[in-house]
Amino acid sequence: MTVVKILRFLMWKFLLLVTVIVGVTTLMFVLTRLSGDAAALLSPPEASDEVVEATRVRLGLDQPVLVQYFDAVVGAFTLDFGSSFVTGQAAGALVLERLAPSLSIVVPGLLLAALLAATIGTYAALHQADARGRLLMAGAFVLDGIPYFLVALVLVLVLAINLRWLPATGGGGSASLVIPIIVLTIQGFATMSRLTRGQLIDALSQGPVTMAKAKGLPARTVLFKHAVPLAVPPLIAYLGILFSFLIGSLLILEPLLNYAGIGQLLVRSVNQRDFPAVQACVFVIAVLITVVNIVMDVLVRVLDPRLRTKVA
Amino acid sequence: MTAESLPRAAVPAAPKTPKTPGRMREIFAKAWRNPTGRIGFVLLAVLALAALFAPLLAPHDPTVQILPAADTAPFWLGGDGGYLLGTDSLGRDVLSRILYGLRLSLLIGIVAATISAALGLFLGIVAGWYEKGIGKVLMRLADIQFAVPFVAVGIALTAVLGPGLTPVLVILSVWGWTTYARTIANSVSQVKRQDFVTAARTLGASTPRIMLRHITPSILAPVVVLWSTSAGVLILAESGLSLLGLGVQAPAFSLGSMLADGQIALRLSWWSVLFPGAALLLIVLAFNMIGDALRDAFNPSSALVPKNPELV
Repeated sequence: MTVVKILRFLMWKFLLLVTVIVGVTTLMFVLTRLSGDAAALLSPPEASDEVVEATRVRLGLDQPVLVQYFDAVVGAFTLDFGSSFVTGQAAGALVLERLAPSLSIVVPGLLLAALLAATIGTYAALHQADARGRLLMAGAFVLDGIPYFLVALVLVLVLAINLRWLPATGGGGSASLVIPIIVLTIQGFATMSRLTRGQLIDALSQGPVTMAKAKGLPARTVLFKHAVPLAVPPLIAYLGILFSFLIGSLLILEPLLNYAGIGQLLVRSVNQRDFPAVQACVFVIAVLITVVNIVMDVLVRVLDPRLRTKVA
Repeated sequence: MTAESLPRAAVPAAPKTPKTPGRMREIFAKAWRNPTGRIGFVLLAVLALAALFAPLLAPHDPTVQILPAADTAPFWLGGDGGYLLGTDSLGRDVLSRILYGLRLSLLIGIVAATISAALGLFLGIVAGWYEKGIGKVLMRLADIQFAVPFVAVGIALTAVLGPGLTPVLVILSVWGWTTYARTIANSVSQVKRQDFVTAARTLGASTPRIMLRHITPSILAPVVVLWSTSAGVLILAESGLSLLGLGVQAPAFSLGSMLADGQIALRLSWWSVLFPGAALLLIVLAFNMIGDALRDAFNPSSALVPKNPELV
């Protein structure tokens, strides 16, 4: 890749990021503003009209909608989302506080899923025809169909309620990470091992790999030097998609397990009409997903021998 | 693929638009010959029949609460009253509720999958036909959507439209379009350069007519494949939203809302969670098996396409 091409590529990706930020801010702005009167909802139920009006002014909801929208977009780019309607804390800080607990389950889950998938997928690809390879894939197929929230409930039932090994809900220190990490790992690795197997089988039948085999190179060399480099790039691209799956599933998993992460915060903020917190959560999630996928995209371009030769 | 779009000087007969109905039947026949596909079709048929004949099959009224019989274990675990799958914490028969719950779950999945397929088909054709203009805009929209967790939008939409099935159906039907649109836009941009399209154009067919009569039939197969896997995913998505208290409201219920009811009483009656969960798993497996077999029949090498990247 020439420097100009790299710069152009990065510029396009930056533009994508900007579009995504404006897009998600707009989407959530429209939806939350349509969802009823936040001032009334955040005032005590028996509050008089004056009190509600005062709340409205305090929250800045008396401003024209366009001004509010403009503020929301500018806020997203200056990382100033305002203060949470509920706690009064800066919404950005509130979200960052919740980000670490979420990432500390998503990142291990993603890595474990990738590791398991690489092992199982490779094994199954090399043992395509025999019973063990097929059994593994049948297992992956069934696991693929199990809803992750059901996995979470079963784990709570077995590990927390029956065996009492682990806390059933969040807030139990590092032990409360275990169940969500297992859930996310299971959610991720099944599809990915099937993909790994498919990619590797595909790679093993491609020209350069057949050539290496024909030259009489040892099986190990053929696999790691020739087949794996062809199989890995699409899997890395999928890893980015998987990351967004896992982040998305936090919105159901965290409330279910009462785990204090960004997913729980977002769900609660939407329910409470805490607009600044909603905007901050969605911003962080969208930027995270987009940036991770851009990084994966770059990795794919660097690693894929086919793309490398094409671009150079 | 360079476009050879100019009609040749002397064309004896206009190239025919490929006929899909024949090809479709062929794909289904091929999928039926595949053991995975056959198990899937049979499983789905059994589940659909169970839902259809729920009034005949259910041993109890699914909504009648017999509080003294609450949390009764299945009889084979020593529970009284001869309940095959036990009762939930309100004393309702779990088996009867699963049979009735299947109805809404299947209905939601099928309706939402069909609407999003239609939407995705339409937008995909438009995006593929007008690759440079609207197509670019649509693909950016898909990028934005990818970065937003659909659960957050689902909750916000419920806040706008009020609790119930409508917001969930809307979000599930709308959110799925991107998977279709990406796939279809790709096929359309290839198909539109083929001779039968040029021929139709030369014969004076209008753009909408070409899209409807010539493009749509030739790209319907991948839509059917995607439809099948997405139905399972959508049923899961509905269950996930149910866990957050969204979706079907009592007295109506789906398998997902059974999970939501049951998880509160997980300690007392695990059967009121695990059995509906198992039913959910069977549905998803059936759809996945059919989807896999159809995909293999349609294009053996595309088995690597990850299913439904948009919904978790």
